[in-house]
Parts: sequence; structure tokens; C-alpha cells
Amino acid sequence: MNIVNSKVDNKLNLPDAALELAELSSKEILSLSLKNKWMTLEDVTLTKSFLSDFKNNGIDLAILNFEKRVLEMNLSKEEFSKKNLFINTVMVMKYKNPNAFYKDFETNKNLLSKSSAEDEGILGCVLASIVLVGATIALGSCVTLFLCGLALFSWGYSFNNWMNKCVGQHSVM
Amino acid sequence: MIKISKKAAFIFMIIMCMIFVISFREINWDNIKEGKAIFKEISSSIAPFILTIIFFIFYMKRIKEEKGK
Repeated sequence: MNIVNSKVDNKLNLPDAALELAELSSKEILSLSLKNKWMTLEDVTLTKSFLSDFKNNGIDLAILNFEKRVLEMNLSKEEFSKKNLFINTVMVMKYKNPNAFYKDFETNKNLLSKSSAEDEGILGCVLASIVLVGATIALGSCVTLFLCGLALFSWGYSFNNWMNKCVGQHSVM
Repeated sequence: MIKISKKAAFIFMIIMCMIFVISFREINWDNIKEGKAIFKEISSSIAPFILTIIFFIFYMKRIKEEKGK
């Protein structure tokens, strides 16, 4: 904190409990936040829905849906202002730097949209495994040179796909 | 070498065809339209497409063999 304060010439002060969070993993931070009632499960669901909307439908729809959900929750004034502060911050950031929200969404879907392996999850892995099994069978049962070439080519592709979907981003191609 | 039956070839062909269609939902068609990263977008559909063709050929071969007998 001292380093930050000296750099920006400020007297920013955070409680010790908040500084200790820096040493924890994201899962530990979440469980500690829930335990200490800094946030509720409702907040987690709301944030997850917001991120999911953002990834799949873009920032505008994500903001609209967030507002709709918050209004449906019938929150107290204090809780409402917390959510309001969050979405207002997002909107200010969007106003200040719209490219950060739109450019990536349009041009690099993998950044903000489905991060292939993660969002596809088990289904993607299962399908990739079935294709790999099929490719192996095709490779084992081919007779002509042409079919064996095709089978080998598709085996390579399906193996690469299987690595991406089931093992992680370990693409070999 | 594995010798697959007519029935197995047909089932594999249908499965691969279904996976090929399912894999379409992963494709970002906007990128395809703009001609960006086409290869990357279709990469997960290539293997099931080729395998559909291969199992179709296997299936047709089995039918031909049956007719030849």
C-alpha cells in the first residue's frame, strides 16, 4: 500500500482483512467473502449471469439483463445502491473506452465469448472423444491409400481437438 | 485391421454426421463472413465431416459386397 500511495501521492488505506486477500486464490477469496458475508450467493449468481450474458450476447444486453434482475430482486436501499454502483462503474468504463467492450467481442470471440474448452465443458470433451474413437476405428479399418490418408488426417485433427477440449489449450496444430 | 460391419458403418456415419452438425454451433459465422480466422473457426468441424465421408464409403462398400454375393 505504501508503494502505491507513494506512486500516486495519495493516502489510500485498506483494512488488513482486505490486504490478506491478495495472498489467497480466487476460490479461497470467494469462500471467505461468503463466510464473512461480504457478499451473498445471490451476488455470485447475479455476477455469473452478468458475465455469461457479456460473453454470449455482448455488453449492452448484459447491462439490460443485470438491471432487470436487480429490479426483480426487491432489494433494500443499501443493497440496491451497491448493485447500482457496480453497473454504473461498468457503464462509465464502457463510455470511456467502448472499444474494450465491443472490439474484442466482435473480433476475438475466444477472449470474451466461449473460451472453447471451458464453456463447452463436458459435452465438448465427450463429443471430441467420440470423434477420436471414430477416427481411430476409421484408421484401423481403412484399406485403400486414399482412405488411409483421409483417416490419418482426420485422426490428427480429432486428436488435436480432443487435446483442446479435454486436456486444455495444448493444441499441437 | 478392423473390419466394421454395414450396420456399424451406418451407425458411425450417423453419429459423425450429428457431431458435425452440433459442431456448427461453435462457429462464429461473423468471422467466416468477414473472412477472418476461417480455418480456426471450422477446425472442430473438419474431423467429423471427413469421418462422415469415410464411414459413408465403408457403408457403400459393404452394400456393394452384399450385392456382389
